[in-house]
Amino acid sequence: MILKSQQNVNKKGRSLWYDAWKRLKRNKAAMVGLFMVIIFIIVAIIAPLLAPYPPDEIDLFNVLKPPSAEHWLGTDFYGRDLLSRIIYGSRISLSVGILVQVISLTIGTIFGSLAGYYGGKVDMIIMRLVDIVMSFPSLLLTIAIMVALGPSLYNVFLALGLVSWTGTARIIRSEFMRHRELDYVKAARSIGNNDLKIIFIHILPNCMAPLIITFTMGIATAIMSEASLSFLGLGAQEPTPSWGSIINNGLQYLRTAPWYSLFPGLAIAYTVLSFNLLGDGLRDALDPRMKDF
Amino acid sequence: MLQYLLHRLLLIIPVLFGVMILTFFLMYVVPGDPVLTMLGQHATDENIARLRAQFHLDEPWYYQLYNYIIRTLKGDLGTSYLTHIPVRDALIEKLANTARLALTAIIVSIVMGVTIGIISAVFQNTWIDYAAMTFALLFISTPVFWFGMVLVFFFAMKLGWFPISGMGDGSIKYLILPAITLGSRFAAFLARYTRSVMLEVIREDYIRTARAKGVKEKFVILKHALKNVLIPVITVIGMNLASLLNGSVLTESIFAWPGFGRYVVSAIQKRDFQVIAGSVLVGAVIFVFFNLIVDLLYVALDPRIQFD
Repeated sequence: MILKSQQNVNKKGRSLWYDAWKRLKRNKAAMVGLFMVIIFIIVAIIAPLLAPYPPDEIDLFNVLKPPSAEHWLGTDFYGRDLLSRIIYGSRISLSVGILVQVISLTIGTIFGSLAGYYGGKVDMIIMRLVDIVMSFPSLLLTIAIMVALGPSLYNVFLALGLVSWTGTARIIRSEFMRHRELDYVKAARSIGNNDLKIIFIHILPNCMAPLIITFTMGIATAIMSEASLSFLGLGAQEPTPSWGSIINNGLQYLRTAPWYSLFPGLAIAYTVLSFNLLGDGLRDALDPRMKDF
Repeated sequence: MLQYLLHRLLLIIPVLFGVMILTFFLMYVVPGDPVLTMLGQHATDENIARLRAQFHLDEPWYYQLYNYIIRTLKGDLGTSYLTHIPVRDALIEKLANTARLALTAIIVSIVMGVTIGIISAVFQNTWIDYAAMTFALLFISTPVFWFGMVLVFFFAMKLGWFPISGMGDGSIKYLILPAITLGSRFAAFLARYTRSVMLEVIREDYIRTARAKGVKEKFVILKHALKNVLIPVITVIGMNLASLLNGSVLTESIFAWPGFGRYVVSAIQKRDFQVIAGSVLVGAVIFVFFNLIVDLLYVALDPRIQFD
C-alpha cells in the first residue's frame, strides 16, 4: 500500500520537463539530431587530440594535394591539412553558435519582458525598435554592422547578436502579456514583490520552453550566418579556420581542387542539420501549440 | 481594406525614419576616412580638406544626419566614391537583374516545392514521404553559396551544360543554375509547409464528400485540395523574403550575377561606403514594402483572415 501511494506521489510530481524529455525520446529524428549535436560538441572540445596536424602548419611542398593517406581531406593553398582545419573550425562554429545566442537571448529577453510586462509606452517604443531592426534583411544589416565594426570574429559575435534578438523579444513579449494577467502573478504582486522580482523570479522561469527552442534553432541560424559572412570575407580572418572562409578561399581553385571547398560545406550542413533536427524535436516536445509551423 | 492599407502605410513612416537613422549611424561610425579611400595616393592635406568640405564630412554629425535625411527623401542616395556613378542609377539597373533572378527562383521553387509537398502528403509515411522530407531538411541546412558552388562544379565545369558565371547575353541558360541555387531553400520550406497543409486539408469533410461522390482521387487532390495551397505559398514567401534577399547576395557573388547582391559585396571589398549605405537602405525599404504586399495578399486571399 505504501509503495503504491508513493508511486502515485511520484507520478504526480512528474515535471513538465520529464514529460517533454519522454516526448523527445520517442522522436527518432530528434534523437538523431541530439546524437549529431553531441558528436559535434565532442569534436570541438577534443579537436587537438583528433586533428592529425596543427591547423596552421604550412607545408609549401604539399600545396593543393587531393585527399590521400597522409591528408584524408587534402590540403589547401598553403599546404595546410584540411581535415585538421575543419576539425578546428568546429570550435569556431560552436563558439559562434553559443555566444551569439547568449547575446541575442539576453537582449531579446530583457526587451521582450519589459515590453510584455509594462505594456503601454514602453511596449510601443521597444516594439518600434524591433520593427526597425526587422525591416532590414538580416544579412544586409549584419553586413552594415560588420563594415562599421571591421571584420573580426569578435565583431561577428556582436553583429549577429545585435541583429538576431528581435525574434526572441517578440516571443518573450507575448508570453509575458499572457502571464501578467494570471493569478500567480497577481498574487506575487499583492504580497509586495517588486517588478524586477516578478519579471525575473516569477514569470521568466515559465518562459523557459520557448527560450530553449529559440536557443537551439538560433544556433543553427548563427552558424549559417557566420559561414555566410566569412564566405563574403567579412567574418573570421586568416588564419582562423572558419568553415565559411575555407570555402571562400577554395572557390578560386574549384576546377582544380574541388575538395578544398567541398568538405567544409559538408561540415556546415552536418552541424546546421543536427541543430535543426534537435530544434524541431524540442519544439514538438516542449510546445505542442507550435507544431507544424 | 483601404483603411487597413492606410493604417499600415502610416505605421511604415516612423520605421523608415528609424531605418534611415540607423543606416546613417552605422556608416557614420565607420572607422577610416572615406576621403582617404577616395584619394588613395593623391591624399594631400589640401585635397583631403577640399573633399571633406565637398561631402560635408567636416560638419557636426547632427547636421550631416539632417542633410542625409533630406537628400535621401529627395531620392538622392549619394554617389559612389570610386566610380562616381550615382548610387540610385546603379541600383535601378542592378535591381532589375536581381528581380529577374529572384522571380525565376520563386517560380522554380513554387513548382518544385508544391509538387514535392503534395506527393509527400499523398504518400504520407511511405519511403517517398520520408525521402522527400529528408531532402527538404538537407536543403534547409545546406549553405546557399556552397550549394551553388557544387552546381557550378558539376553542371558547368564538369559537364559543361551551363555557363560558369555572369549573365552573358541574358539568355536563359545563364539563369538556370543561379535560380536553382537561390530557390533551393525556398523550395524546401515550401515542400514542408505544403505537406503539412495538405495533410490537414485531405482530412476535411468536403474532401471526404468529394471522394464519397466518386470523384477520382487525382481530381480530389488537384482540384479540391490544391486550392488551399495558395495560402501556404504566400505564407512561406512572407516568412522567407529575408532569406531570399540574403540568398541573392550570396548567390550573386557565386555566379557573378550583375545584380543588387553582387553590387553590395563588391562595394564592401572596395570600402565604397556610399554604395553600401544606399544599398542597405534600399534593401530595407524593398523588404518593408514586400512584407506589406504579402500581408495584403494574405488578407485578400483568405476570407477567414480579418483586417486588424
